[in-house]
Amino acid sequence: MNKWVKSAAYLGAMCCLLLLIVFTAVMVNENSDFKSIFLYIRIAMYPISIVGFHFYIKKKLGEEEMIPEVKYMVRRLQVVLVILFVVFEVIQVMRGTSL
Amino acid sequence: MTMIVNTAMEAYTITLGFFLNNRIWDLLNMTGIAFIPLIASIVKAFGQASAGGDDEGNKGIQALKHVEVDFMRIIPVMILCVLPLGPEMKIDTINYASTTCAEANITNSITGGGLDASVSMYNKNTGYLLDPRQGNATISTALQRTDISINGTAARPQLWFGIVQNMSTRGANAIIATIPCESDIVGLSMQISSTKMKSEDMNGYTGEFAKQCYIPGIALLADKAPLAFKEIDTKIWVGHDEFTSVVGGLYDKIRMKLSPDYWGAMIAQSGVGASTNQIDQQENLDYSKDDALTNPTCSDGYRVLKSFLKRDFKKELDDFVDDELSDARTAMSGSVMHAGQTKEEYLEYYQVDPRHAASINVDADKYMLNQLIGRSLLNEVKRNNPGESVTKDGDVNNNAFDQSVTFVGDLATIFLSAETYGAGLIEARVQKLAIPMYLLLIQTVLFLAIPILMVFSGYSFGMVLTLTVTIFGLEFIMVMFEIARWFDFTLARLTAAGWGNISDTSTVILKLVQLDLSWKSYIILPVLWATLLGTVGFITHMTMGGAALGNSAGQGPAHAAKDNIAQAKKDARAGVRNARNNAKAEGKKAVENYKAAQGRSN
Repeated sequence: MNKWVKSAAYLGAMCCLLLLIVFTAVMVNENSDFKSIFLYIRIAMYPISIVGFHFYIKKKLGEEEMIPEVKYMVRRLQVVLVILFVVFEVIQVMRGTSL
Repeated sequence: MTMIVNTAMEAYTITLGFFLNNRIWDLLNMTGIAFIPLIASIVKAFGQASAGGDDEGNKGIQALKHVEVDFMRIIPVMILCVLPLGPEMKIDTINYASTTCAEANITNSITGGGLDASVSMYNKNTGYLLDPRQGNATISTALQRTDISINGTAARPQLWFGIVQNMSTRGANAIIATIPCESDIVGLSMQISSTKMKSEDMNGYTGEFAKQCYIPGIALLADKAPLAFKEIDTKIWVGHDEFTSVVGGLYDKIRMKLSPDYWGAMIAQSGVGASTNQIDQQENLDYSKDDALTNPTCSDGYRVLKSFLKRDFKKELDDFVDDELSDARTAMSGSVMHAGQTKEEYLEYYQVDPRHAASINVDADKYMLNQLIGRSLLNEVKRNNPGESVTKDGDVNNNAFDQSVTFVGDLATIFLSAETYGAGLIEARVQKLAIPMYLLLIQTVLFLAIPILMVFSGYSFGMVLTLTVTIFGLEFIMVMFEIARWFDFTLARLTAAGWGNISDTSTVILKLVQLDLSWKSYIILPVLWATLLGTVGFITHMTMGGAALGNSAGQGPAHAAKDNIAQAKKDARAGVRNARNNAKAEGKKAVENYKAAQGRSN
């Protein structure tokens, strides 16, 4: 891909990210119910992302390339993700939120 | 490890920076934005694997290996550099190191009652005169206010950046501690001038009075007789009988020129209009409407000045009288009771009765007015005219003040110069206090931006390194400030006999130049440091192919080079394979030809 297209895509993504941050900040600030809504979304996001990871790879590689070694590595990464998410939530609960 | 701060304000700014940092991180985490780099890493790995050649093996394995490597980077970076897991920033975990020479004033203001809304963080009256190493190094009162917490959550730094900030401060302090503290002569000068006036109206009026009455009065006095050095404090003080006596007082002979509105306002504001001995304003309105000026006598002008003095300096005057009384009582306490004197009489007259002690020559007005108008200027005259001189009567004076009365004619110029000098002094002083505070604000912004920068960079090592170097570089600017301060004070000490010296315009200009140089060094040295650090970073960036700093500007060529190398390797491998295959084919063909030739010959 042309490097200018890449740069523009990168910048666009960053802008979207910033907008998302600002948007969520405004939402949380204006209505505290959004805090619990975001909590549910996040909690739901964890299993969805772990399962989605599996399906994404399956789709991307195709059945013939999903050899046992790949499956094993996917499982391993899924376990890492589960640990990561759990640790995140535990830390968050221990710290409390400043929002 | 306790967090070390160098200034009281740094305790606030760092805490605030990390507090906002934590809030931003909470926001990123809550909304799941913090996990976007993980998704991006997976997608990117599979994208790269798909773009690879068929000879690189199973694409899934290749991609997952990339993902694993990315996770191995992302997870430790998140734990060390993004999650706020450092110690809570509270009064128990922040310590104040009074390493810099500038901190004496803060320490002083703290020990003098703590920092609250009524106490300035920078105590202008203490200047930088104390060696802070002897001062009270605790700022517990100041740190009470850093206990910022919402929902019981206190600010916490990221483990790595907390350590970097802390070690940078300690490192900078170690260097700062080797720089000797100099006395702030400029600050002392400022201290003198800062005690000059308390209110704008009195300030303006005193200047007018000095120009229109006091200086011409001295000039008239000098015409009558040579003024001796020893008389400066007694005879030429602004309220001396020579000026103010009812009969023959010089102030009666001199008139001021003021607008009626201004004069009326001064009478009203000073309070002299309300006293029992009122100034008849109408009597002084000796003016025509054309010139719109009134001509009060300097005697009345002096009464307004005294009234201002009593309005603005009541406490100082009372304190001065009390001190004198106390001294008098101490002196009298050693006196012996006379024969025939009762003990009660003795006690009444010599020990306790302030009425008698007050009979000693306590002239608080004179003291204060001298402070305000005459003395600083005349002291300059004294300082600038050492040595002996001969009066017009042939007497030898041990000073040259009588000669220097011609200098009185130039006093108006000096007043103007002094005004400029004062403005320069104030600007330099303000800048020198303000510039280090800008640094603290920059640090605050950097700290609060850490989570956003880390997420945007995909938790890259490059960004960690960049932020680490920036935090260190910013903290090290404190050393630059200390060098600038030392340079400033040393230069002032070496080149100036006295910073209160404002004897002529050229001296004032010279000193303004020096003041300008001194405060601008607070900008130039940090800029130089930042440039040097930036240059080193740039060179590192170039020599390491952008891998070290990892920003997009460097990554482009670096990745291009990497891709080229990979392609070259692929080409080489393909070339070898082709050559081998070709050789095999050629060999096979040769063997077949040989076999065919053999068959034909048979």
